[in-house]
Amino acid sequence: MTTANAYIQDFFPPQRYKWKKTKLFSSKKDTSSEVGKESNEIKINFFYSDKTILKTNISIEPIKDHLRAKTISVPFPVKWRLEGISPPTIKCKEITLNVVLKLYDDFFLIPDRVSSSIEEGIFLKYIDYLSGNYLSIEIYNDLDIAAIITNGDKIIKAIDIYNDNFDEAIKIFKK
Amino acid sequence: MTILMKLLRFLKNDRYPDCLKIKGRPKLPTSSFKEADRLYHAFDNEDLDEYENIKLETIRFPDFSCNWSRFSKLRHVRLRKNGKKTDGCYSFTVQVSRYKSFATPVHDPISDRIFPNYSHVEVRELFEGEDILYEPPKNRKKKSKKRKSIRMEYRQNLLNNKFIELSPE
Repeated sequence: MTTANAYIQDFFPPQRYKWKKTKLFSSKKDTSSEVGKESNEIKINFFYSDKTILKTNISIEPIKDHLRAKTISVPFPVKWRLEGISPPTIKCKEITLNVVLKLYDDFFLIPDRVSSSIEEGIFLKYIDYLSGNYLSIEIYNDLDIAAIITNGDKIIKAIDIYNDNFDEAIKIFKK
Repeated sequence: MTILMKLLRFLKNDRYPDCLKIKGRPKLPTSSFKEADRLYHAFDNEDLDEYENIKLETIRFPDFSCNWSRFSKLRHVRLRKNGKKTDGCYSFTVQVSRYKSFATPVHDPISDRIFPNYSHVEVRELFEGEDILYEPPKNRKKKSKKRKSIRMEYRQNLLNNKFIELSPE
């Protein structure tokens, strides 16, 4: 991601796979840039008068960026560390990120909560405000995945997830 | 320094509840639990979500540590290693802990020098075919993919049937 000093709404999304020359900072005479789009990112190259080039990427998908950040930087309580519980591993975070992005891409679901689990892994909670159903997913450090769908105090179904197939869980969740 | 430590330990020990001290009492069998007995567990504000509900991800299973209501009071959950004076306490019945025969409470007194706890109980996982009066060994964990959803269901049921006795301060 970028630290470029520009706001995404400051320029128009360029045409797919076509590079477009744009002047980003009109006040700075010696700085020009190239803006282009590949998949979900805009690439900006800053060309300076001393012939140095600063290459940056800006994502145009803030929701996905937010989900990525939320998953990767999931906090782990100190008290659990003192009890000898392992925090989520890098691999667990990677798998969780895949799950979060998959549920966002396929079903447009955004987790209400992403947190560490005392069962050594990451916990995700989704809420369907229409039905009042809750979908809780746990991705463990051993990379197993389990999910449970509840409504109030009623347990609707607990499912083990195999091969990243959430179809059954989502079907019940959205009912 | 040693004398000061001994004095502190003496003063602390003097105030320590008698019901938690082991005092040569034996470990009780699983059959001693009555269905209506309650099991106490400590929690703090970190375990609560934005609606003040206890989070599912903070419930550990198997080997869930509790205090047995027969030998302890609510506030005694604070008297443990890493325990805080501000901790809250929730409870659930032995009947809830035996949900679908997935688990059973096992009396497991702790003979610690600083925090002895005769009322300590561990809710341990039962495997298929095991009776609720069977005493599963400590740290037993079946590495089966299918157990994960069962454990999650068990934890959710415990959450649905818990009662907050003491709110964290």
